[in-house]
Amino acid sequence: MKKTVNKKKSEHVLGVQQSHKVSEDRYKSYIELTGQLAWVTNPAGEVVEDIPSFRNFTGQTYDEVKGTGWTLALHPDDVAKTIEVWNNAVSTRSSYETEYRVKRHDGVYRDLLAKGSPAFDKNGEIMEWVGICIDITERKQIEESIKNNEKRFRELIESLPQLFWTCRVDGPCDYLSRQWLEYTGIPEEQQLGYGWLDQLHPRDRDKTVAVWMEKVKTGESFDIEFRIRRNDGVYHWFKTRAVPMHDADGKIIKWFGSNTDFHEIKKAEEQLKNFSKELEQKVDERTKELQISKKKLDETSSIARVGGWELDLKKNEMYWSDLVKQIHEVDPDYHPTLQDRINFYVPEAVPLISKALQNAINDGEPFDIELQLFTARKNLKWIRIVGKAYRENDEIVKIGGMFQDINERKLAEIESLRKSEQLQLLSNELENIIDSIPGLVFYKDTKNRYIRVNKYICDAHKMSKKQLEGLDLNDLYPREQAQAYYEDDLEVIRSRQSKINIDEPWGNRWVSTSKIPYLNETGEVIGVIGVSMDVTERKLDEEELKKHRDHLEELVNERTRELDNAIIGLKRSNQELEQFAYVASHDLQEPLRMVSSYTQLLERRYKDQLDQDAKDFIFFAVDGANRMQHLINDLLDYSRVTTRGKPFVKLDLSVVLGHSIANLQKKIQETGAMIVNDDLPFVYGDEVQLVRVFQNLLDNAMKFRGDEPPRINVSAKTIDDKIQISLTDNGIGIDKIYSDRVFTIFQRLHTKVEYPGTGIGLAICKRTIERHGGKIWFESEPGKGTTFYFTLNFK
Amino acid sequence: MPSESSGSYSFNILLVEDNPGDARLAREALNENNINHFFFHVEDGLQALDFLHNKGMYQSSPRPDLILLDLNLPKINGHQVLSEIKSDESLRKIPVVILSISQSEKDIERSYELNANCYVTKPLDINEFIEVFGRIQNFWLKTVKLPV
Repeated sequence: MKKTVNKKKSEHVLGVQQSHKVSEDRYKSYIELTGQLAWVTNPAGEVVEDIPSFRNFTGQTYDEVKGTGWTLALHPDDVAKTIEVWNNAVSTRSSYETEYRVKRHDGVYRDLLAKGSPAFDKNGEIMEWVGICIDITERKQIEESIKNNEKRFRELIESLPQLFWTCRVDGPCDYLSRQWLEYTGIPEEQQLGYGWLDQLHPRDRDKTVAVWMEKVKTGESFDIEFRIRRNDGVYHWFKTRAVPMHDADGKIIKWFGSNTDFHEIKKAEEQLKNFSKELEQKVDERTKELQISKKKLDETSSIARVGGWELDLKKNEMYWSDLVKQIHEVDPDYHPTLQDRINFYVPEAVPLISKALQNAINDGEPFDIELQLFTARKNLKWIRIVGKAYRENDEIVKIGGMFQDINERKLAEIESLRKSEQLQLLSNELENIIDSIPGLVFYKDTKNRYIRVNKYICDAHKMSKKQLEGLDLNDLYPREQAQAYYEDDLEVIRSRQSKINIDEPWGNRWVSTSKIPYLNETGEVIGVIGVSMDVTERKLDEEELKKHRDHLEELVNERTRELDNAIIGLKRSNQELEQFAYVASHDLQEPLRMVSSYTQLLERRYKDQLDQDAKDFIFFAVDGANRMQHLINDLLDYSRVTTRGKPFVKLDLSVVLGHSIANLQKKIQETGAMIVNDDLPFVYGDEVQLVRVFQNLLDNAMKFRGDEPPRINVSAKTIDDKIQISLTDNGIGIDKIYSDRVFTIFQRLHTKVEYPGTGIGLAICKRTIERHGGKIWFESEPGKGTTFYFTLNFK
Repeated sequence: MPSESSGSYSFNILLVEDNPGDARLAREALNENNINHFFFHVEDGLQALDFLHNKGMYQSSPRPDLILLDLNLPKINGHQVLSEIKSDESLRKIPVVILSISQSEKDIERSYELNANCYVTKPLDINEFIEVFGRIQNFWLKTVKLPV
């Protein structure tokens, strides 16, 4: 019976196991479809059943994987870590997750994410470990490249001259670039959120906040200009551009913005603009003038009025062609006389033409001269006369040649010459101006060669303009510098945009360079025009300033450290002193009691046997001991102000004062004192201690009374964040010179006989008020009265 | 158990006090009053418990009618001695007067929690001191009725 039951039961169990097995296999194959490797090991982590997916991945055989063989596929550097994770999982009996590299069948190591969980039997023992491995190589690579991209992006951002920032969708700033922090000189933590607004010019803040809040709402990108405070306190204008960044759904996820120092650009742009305008103007003028003279020349030649002439030496006759006559403005039938060969010319021209004719006649020398003459109608005219000798049998018989009206051409030429002289003058002037600029001014071609340079450059290199112009900058500057200059040129040439105020090394100095593209008439960039100003001093100043600032900072830090140490030391010594005072007063009580008690006992027992001297001596001994007792108690009280103080609570000062008055009832009646008080406010404090403060002050006021019965007035007023309480009496007053002494422990201004007391009352008041974060002082007029003031917190 | 002596009871008073000066002063104060008593003095908590349990050198010590107990004691302090007495069936009925210079509320509170019969601070003035001791004697030895 029993047996049957058992058998049935075991069959049933087997069935369940089989169906488990089927679904487990199916599940495994599902897992493998997802590209994950499923595995099972025994409780010791040994492979005891085949795991084809893992094997296929590593290319191992089952025999190789079996037992702990699978670990051989791990990267040697990952074995130790994997074993540690495994041991930890075994000891805590819990799931684990780890990453390791596994050598794939093709010999390549892949990153796998392995997860394993223990499976327990019904006794809670680990039956086996099951798990999966996922190939995360690609994911890791992507993560890595994203990280790299981010890093590169950040580096890029930080290398630009602009200030950059990002803000959260709802407005607060969550990133400020290194440049922003350097520019403002304020630590990041003070600026994130909305702290950066403090660096804006006060006049620009409201506007900026308004625009920013508006744009955060609408999500539009925008430009705005405002002034930002530089670390030296100078405000610079910045052009700010803010752009929202969207995710794939078009939702804004971040704001990204840049600020460009517009101040310097504006200044430099202005300078360059003026400079290039002047240049352009000159070029225009020159072009126009050249055009005019060319035109005139053309006109002249088109109507080339050329005639002929002859001087017949045999006949002694002159011959003029019609045009020659026209040029002379004589009638067509005019017969020129011999005399006419020189008659018409202006006096200065006469020797020239005479000489030319003479030479031609005597030596057969040809001539071609340009002269001025007066026509018959008295018009002054430029002519050209060309002549040569004609011979017959070696004898010069005739001189003749061309006669041309060159008046217009000549006038144009003269005009042109004049203009060009003028132009030269202007050009010299311009060159002088450029030469006088205390900085480098240059025009370069597109191949890193100087085309024009100013004197400053010449002086710097101790070379002439001729030597420098056409020189490759590579032959003039260290290679890296020349190359850096050229890269800037290329950028300007490519972008056709100015590059303004780049700080760069120039030899062993620093210059700030601005370059503009130089265009020819067709709009083609044929070079760059640049200006570099020496900013070495500024740079040095900046460095000096920075050094100075660093030094100051270091000094401040040092002082702060010293101060911190001093404070710590002070606190410790304070605590020790308090402890000492407390212990000392406790332990001092005992022997003192002995002195006083036994002396008294002596007197009590032997009264009848003692003479008056003995009794006096006993009196002084007891009195001394009693006073010491009081001093010790006072010292104890004084030390307890801080050691036994209670936490502060809200107190009604009127009630506190009420307690003090009640405690002093006896003395008030004795002295006939009158205490008047205003409504007193609520404060935060230690009630017992504040009752004591009032009590001590009132007690003093009554003790140091004048002839009149004491009148004491207590009032309070609020000053800033404090309550100031004043207590005015009509007593004997205190001389101002004692203003510090009265608050010092055991300092008395009067003899014990005049006014008994240990001199602790005001010291305790001071200590108590200071513990409450307040101050205590007095004003007094000796003979009239004293007002004590102290402050307390009402928050 | 009061002892019979010349027609009136003589009481046993146990003082637990480590300071000999204080002990002598207490003894003098007790002698100022005309109440017959035997004065016993032990110097620390351990001796006090030995005395009460008749242990060690106190094999034949009598049961006290009144215990005057200082709090600040070497070895076993006053509160521990008090707690020990009040948890012992055979001793807890003996009145225990705590005598201390401490005015600390904590000390007072603790003493009554441990069922001290009363707590008295030692006066500083000798006359008051003697007067207080007289009152303690009168009250605990004469005025009140204690279980036999």
